[in-house]
Amino acid sequence: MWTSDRAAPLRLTAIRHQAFGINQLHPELAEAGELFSERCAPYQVTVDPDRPLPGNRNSFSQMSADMIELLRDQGDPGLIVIAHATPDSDPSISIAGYLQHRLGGDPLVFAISDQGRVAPFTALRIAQDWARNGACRATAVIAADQATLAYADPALGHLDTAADHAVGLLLTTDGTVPLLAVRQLPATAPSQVGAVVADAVAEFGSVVPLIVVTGQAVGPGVVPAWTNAQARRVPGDQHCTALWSVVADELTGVGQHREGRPNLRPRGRVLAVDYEPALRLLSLAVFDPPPVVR
Amino acid sequence: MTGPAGQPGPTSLAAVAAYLPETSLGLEKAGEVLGLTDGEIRKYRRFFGLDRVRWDPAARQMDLLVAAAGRLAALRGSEHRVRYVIHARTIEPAGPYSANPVRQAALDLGLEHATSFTLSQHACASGLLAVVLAGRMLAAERDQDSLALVLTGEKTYPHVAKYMPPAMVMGEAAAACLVGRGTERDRLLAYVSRTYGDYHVVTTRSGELATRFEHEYPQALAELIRSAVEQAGIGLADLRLVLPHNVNRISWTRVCRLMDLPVERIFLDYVPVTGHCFCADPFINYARACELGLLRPGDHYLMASVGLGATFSALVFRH
Repeated sequence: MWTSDRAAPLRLTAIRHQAFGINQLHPELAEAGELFSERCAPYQVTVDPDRPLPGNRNSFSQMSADMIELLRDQGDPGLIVIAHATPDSDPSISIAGYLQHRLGGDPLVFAISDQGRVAPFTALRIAQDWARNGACRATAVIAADQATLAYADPALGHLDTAADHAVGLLLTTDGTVPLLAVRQLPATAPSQVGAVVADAVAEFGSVVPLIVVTGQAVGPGVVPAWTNAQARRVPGDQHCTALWSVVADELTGVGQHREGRPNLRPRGRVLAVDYEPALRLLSLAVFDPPPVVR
Repeated sequence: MTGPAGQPGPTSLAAVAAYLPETSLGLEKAGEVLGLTDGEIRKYRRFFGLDRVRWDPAARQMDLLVAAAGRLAALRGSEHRVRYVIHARTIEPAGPYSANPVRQAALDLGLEHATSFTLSQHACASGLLAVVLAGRMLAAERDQDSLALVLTGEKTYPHVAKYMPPAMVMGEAAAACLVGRGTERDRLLAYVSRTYGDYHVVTTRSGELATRFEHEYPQALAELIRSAVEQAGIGLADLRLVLPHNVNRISWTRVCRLMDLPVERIFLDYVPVTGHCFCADPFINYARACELGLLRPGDHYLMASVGLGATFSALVFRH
């Protein structure tokens, strides 16, 4: 059974995908090896604490702060939810503390994880739920992937090691793009995914053109041929940001945000669907931009 | 520095259970593992009120959570009502990526249908946030009989001592809390949270910032508690009990002096028994206070925690 629709009250005001190269500060991250060595040992995963760390050493703290700086000219978020699947490169930095320190103000900041690819969907649900009683008028959801890992994990072997990625969504009560639905379907078997997605395409694409962005685990060919929906696939070298980087492209059109100008130039209604096999959790979100008046 | 907590709505604690591991270690033994000096051990015992910790050496992270939830009698037969399983964690990485202890715990408890995730970045105050978040998410559910399971408690590893300031020793007690909506008992009246971003490097244990934090800590906590009771529409004198984080006794003595609150109203029984158990402290203190009959129907009580980074949080309830 789908979770209840989180359709209101926040609407999308801006969305931005950012790739992060080598962190010029090159933090030492001396504690990472020891931390993961101890924590992975009970699971028979060997971590060499002296192994040189790969990747670009970008922390979720810095990435989130950079994303908020890019988004906040269109609204200062009172709630910031970071959604991540990989561990942070630097757990010695409190993301909440760092964002308050760098950005000022009094945002409520927290992170959700242990949801694999679908963490950003849960973050969107949380954003809607938190706004429902008027607690804040602007919320930022930051999906983030980073590849500086203290151990080699087969489940994360596909990660882009040339760049880390974040996608920031700014949601406000007066945004231009309504979030028509955010749903999650627990206990979904892999064999059921195709049929459920087809139903969603029929529901949301029966009267308006639909762009369907599907995550890697959703599988190919789920968009029924008889519909007019256009399918988009996501990059294979990102994790929980993969789908959202494509959603950002679809909703911004030009793919670039220019300060002071509206960020969103959507090409049509966007249905974003992803599936986390480890949790058997199917998630979807529907962005419903108003029709363009020509 | 005021956080935008807003009105929490009629969130309530449907049930709370605690798991205290059987292995009780004295500071000397725990100190060997955590790298404490003889001088630190003497100081911890004499000045901070610390004495022993409870560890479960054979347990992995998931086992602690299942042990706590297994003691929730109210969960049995109500599994179908649970929509969310939330692990509030101080230190976010619990193991390799695929370990996912909260998901494994949910499966073990017959909660495959629930959405499970980990909540972090308020450090040891994440547990209090989890209760509020659970209530917000449940408010959006069609079925207002839905529940959320909030799990707290973590493994102690030697490196953890580097993430915690001196004057505390970590334990592995865990707690499970069923959060619901609209019940009369244990209704949430207020939530206040403040983050002091100057202290965002959690491993700072010495120097000017550490000294400033130690100096500002009692006043910041006292102000937070005053704000929480004010938001709840009650006075300090109306607080029957404060259920704290079990860092040490002396810090609470200092806070009480600033607020003119009798230290006897701070539940500190577990400080020399369990040590500081990450996000679990207020909940294991609640469970013990109920066992001792310290809370009567209608009593107001406050849960308080401070997380490194630094986030100070408090919840006010009516029992």
